[in-house]
Amino acid sequence: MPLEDGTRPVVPRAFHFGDESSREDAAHLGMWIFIATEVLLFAVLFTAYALYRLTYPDLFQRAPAHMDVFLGTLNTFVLVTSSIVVALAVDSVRKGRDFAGAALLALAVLLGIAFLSIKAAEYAKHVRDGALPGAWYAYEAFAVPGANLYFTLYWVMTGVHAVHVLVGVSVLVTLMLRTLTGEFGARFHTPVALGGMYWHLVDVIWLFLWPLLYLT
Amino acid sequence: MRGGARHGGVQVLVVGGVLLGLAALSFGLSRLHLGAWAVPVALGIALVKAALIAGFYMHLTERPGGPRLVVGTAGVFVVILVGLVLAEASARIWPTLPPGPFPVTRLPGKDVEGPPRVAPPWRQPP
Repeated sequence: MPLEDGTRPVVPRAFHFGDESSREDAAHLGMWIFIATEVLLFAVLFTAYALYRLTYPDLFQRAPAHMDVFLGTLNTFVLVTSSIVVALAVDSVRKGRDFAGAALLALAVLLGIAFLSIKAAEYAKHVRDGALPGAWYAYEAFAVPGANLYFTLYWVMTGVHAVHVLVGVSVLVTLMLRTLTGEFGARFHTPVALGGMYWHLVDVIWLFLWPLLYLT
Repeated sequence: MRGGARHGGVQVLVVGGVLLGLAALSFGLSRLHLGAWAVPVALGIALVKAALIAGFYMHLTERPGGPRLVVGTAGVFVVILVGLVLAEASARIWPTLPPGPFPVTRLPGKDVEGPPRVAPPWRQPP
C-alpha cells in the first residue's frame, strides 16, 4: 500500500537492513533455509531407496548391471564441471569481470543442457527396454520380484533431480542475461551467488544418486 | 561477507580438481567390487565431495553462524529420518513387504496361523 507521499512502504532490495553486507547475510541465510527444505525433500526419496535396498539387497546390488554406467558417469563429470564453471562465474562477477562471468554462466547452461540430453538418451533406452516405473514395468532381462521397485525409485529420484536441473538452467540463463545488462557486478552480486548455490545443490544431489544407482 | 576470506579463481580450480579426482576414485573403486563396503565407501566419498562444494562453492566457509546452523540441523534431521526408518525395518520379526514369505492376502493380525508372535511387555507372565 503506498504511503501518503506516494512512496512504497518497503523499498526494493530490503534497504532497511542498512548496508549491503547485512542484506547479503540475510539473503544467504534465507537461501540456506530453502536448500534445507530441498535436502529434506530428497532425504525422503533416499529413505525410500534405503528401505527397499534393505528389503532386496541382492537385487539392488545386481541392478547397476542393467544401467548405462558410461552415460551415468559421463553425466557426473559434466555436472561437476558445470559446478566448477559456475563457481568461476560467481568469482568473476564478484571481481567486476561481468562479461567473463556471463560467458562462464553461458558455458554452465550448455553443460546443463548436455546433462539433460544425456539423461534423455538414457530414459529413451529404458523405455525401449520396458524398464518403466510401477505397473508399467516390462523389462524381461531383469524380471525378478522387486526389480520394478528399483526402476520406480530410479525414475522418481532421477526425474525429480532432472526437474531441478531444468529449473537450474532457467536460473542460470536469467542470471546470465541480467549480468550482461550490467545489473550485477562487484558492488551487487547476491543473486548470482544464490543462483550458483542452487546449481551446486543440484550437483551435490547427483553426487549421491550416481553411486547408489549406477555403481554399487 | 563476514568471518572469512573470499575464494579466488585458483582455489575454485584446485577444489574442482579434487572433486573430479574424487569422482574418478568413486568410479575406480566401484570396479574393484568391495562387497559390503561398496555403499559405505561410495557414500563416504560423496559426503567429502558435498562438504567441499558446500564449504567452498556455496560459501559456507565464509559464513559462520546461521547458515552453518541450518546445514547442521538439516543433516541431523536426515540422519534421524533414514536411521529410524532403517532401524525399524531391520528390527521386523518377519518381512512385511511383498513378496515376503507370507501370502499378501494374510495381513499381520488377520491370520490365525503363521509365525509365533512375542507378547508385548505388559502382557508378559510374571
